[in-house]
Amino acid sequence: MKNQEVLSNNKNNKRKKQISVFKWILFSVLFIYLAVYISVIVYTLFMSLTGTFAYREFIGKGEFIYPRPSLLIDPNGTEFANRTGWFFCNYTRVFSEFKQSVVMGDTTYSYDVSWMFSFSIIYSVICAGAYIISSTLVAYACATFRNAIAKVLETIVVMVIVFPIIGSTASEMQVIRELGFYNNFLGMFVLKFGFTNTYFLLLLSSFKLIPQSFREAAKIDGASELRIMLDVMLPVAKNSIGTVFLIQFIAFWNDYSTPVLYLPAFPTLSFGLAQFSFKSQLEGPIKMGACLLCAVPIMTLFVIFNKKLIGNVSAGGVKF
Amino acid sequence: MILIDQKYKKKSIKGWFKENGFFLCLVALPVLQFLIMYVYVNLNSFVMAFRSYSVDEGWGWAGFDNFNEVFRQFESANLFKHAFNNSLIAFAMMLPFDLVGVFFSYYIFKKFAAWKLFRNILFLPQILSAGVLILMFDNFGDTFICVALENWFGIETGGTLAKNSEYGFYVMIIYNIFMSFGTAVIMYTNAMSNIDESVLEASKLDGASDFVEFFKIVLPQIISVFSVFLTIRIASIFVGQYNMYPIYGSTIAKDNQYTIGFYIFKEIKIAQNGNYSKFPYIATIGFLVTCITAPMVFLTRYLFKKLDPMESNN
Repeated sequence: MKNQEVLSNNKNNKRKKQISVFKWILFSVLFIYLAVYISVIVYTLFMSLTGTFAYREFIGKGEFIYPRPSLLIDPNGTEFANRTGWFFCNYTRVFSEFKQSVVMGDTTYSYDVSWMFSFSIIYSVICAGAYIISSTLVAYACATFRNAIAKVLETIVVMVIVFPIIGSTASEMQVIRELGFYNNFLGMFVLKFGFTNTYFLLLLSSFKLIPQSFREAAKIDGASELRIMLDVMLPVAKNSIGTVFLIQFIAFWNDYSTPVLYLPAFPTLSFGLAQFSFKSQLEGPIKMGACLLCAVPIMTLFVIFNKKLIGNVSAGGVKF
Repeated sequence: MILIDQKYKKKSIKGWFKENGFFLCLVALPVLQFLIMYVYVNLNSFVMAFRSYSVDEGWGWAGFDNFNEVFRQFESANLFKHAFNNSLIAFAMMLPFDLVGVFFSYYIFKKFAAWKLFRNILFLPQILSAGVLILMFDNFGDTFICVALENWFGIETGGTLAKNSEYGFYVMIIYNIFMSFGTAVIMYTNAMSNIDESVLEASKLDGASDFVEFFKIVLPQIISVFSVFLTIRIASIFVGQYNMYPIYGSTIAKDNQYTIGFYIFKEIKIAQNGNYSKFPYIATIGFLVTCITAPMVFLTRYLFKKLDPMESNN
């Protein structure tokens, strides 16, 4: 009897050891990874923030400095002595000096941060709006009217997601230009009005989860199909729709490649930053100030909708 | 009898339209967009591969000239060869991290120490603009690593890693791995949270350790998500630009820093003035790499369907 107890105790101890070893291996690797990650990311963010406040006046026009990494590693560096304090003037200079020039015919337009900020909002709302309207309409239609066309559309979405067609950007550019959609927001709406994306599958499953009895009850009460959709079904799925819109808004806010190619006359903040990173002669603190201005709205959204955003990234992993 | 049948048929078609009229209204515009921006664009891209363009003469037929040119460029020009190889190297470098991500996801899923902190930090780069992060990295992170390498390890870097002509490309891929790693982890974690709790509880009652639980219960259940992730990764082997544009722009990149995705982006950017002369060449490259990628995607999906226990049970 005692021997059995000793044996089972030994087994338990072994199991506990196994558990803790696995846990600790995971923790250590994750910790090392994050240590490197945090030191680069957090240092970069911290330096970007502090860099925008650093300013010294005594050399002619004004020279900008920020705590250089060498000074952190070698604190005896002499340049620390030249710092005169913290200033907010770099942020005002972001507004006056961070500009993007656009040549339209013979005229050159210069857009400052406030313009770029406005273009960012318009571009993100239009594109995310187009994306969500199209995906929602088709997802709702397929989930509600389960006819042969609906099945074909569902299959098309899966096929498009899985089948990779590469290099059609040239053709896309030609079509966009020839339809008169180049360099305007209507063109962006048309370009992004597609439903063949992974979030369509998320919305489809959300609509399929809504009991059909809701629709039938409303129909018996004499409601039209449009009223049923707007007043009964969409409000039930508003959480999913809202989250997808939010995720897409963030994606389009950060997107620089589409505006660079298709909307060069309306530079968004991301567009401006992407251009300025490799060609601008602006000083570091001004660039960093612009970076933070671009990041603040998104960070605010992230803080408010943290749970929804993280929870719905799985949509990309919907099984098909 | 035939008349009655025809009448019935007519009625049923009419009835179908009456019943599904609203459905057709809802899908009409999105389907039209799909027909133009996907079907027509891709057909046009295919046809474009057999055409030529000059500013003076406009569009003409080129037969297989574009294909010959691509193969000639692949043999003689460094840029295209590098772009092709770099796309494959980037894929090979990023793939192991998708696998490692599964382990970290399990850590977060099991809510081990500091899981919330790890999750939020991993997610942070997903919401910030690549332009912002690249700019910050270029101005500070890059310098920080250079100074650290020089001061602590005595490695000469020349003051920049990302723009270094020799290994700048690899630095950018490592940077992209760091930035995209969180997406994989969070996707797997969310997939793990869909696993039936009773299954996990039953395994615990049977005395399964975390190690056993991970390999025998969790991993088989999320294999479908991994297959989706891998499929998308393979499908985008030649699409990825890896945020090269904010660092190099469309003119200053060296030949050995291009990927196919970045090369196509650069050429389209240059052709913004309406000069389509390089478009047929780009369409041909696209067609050829699609021919390489498509079988790989279908083979992967086929293999995973065989491997996936959920699929095999069905």
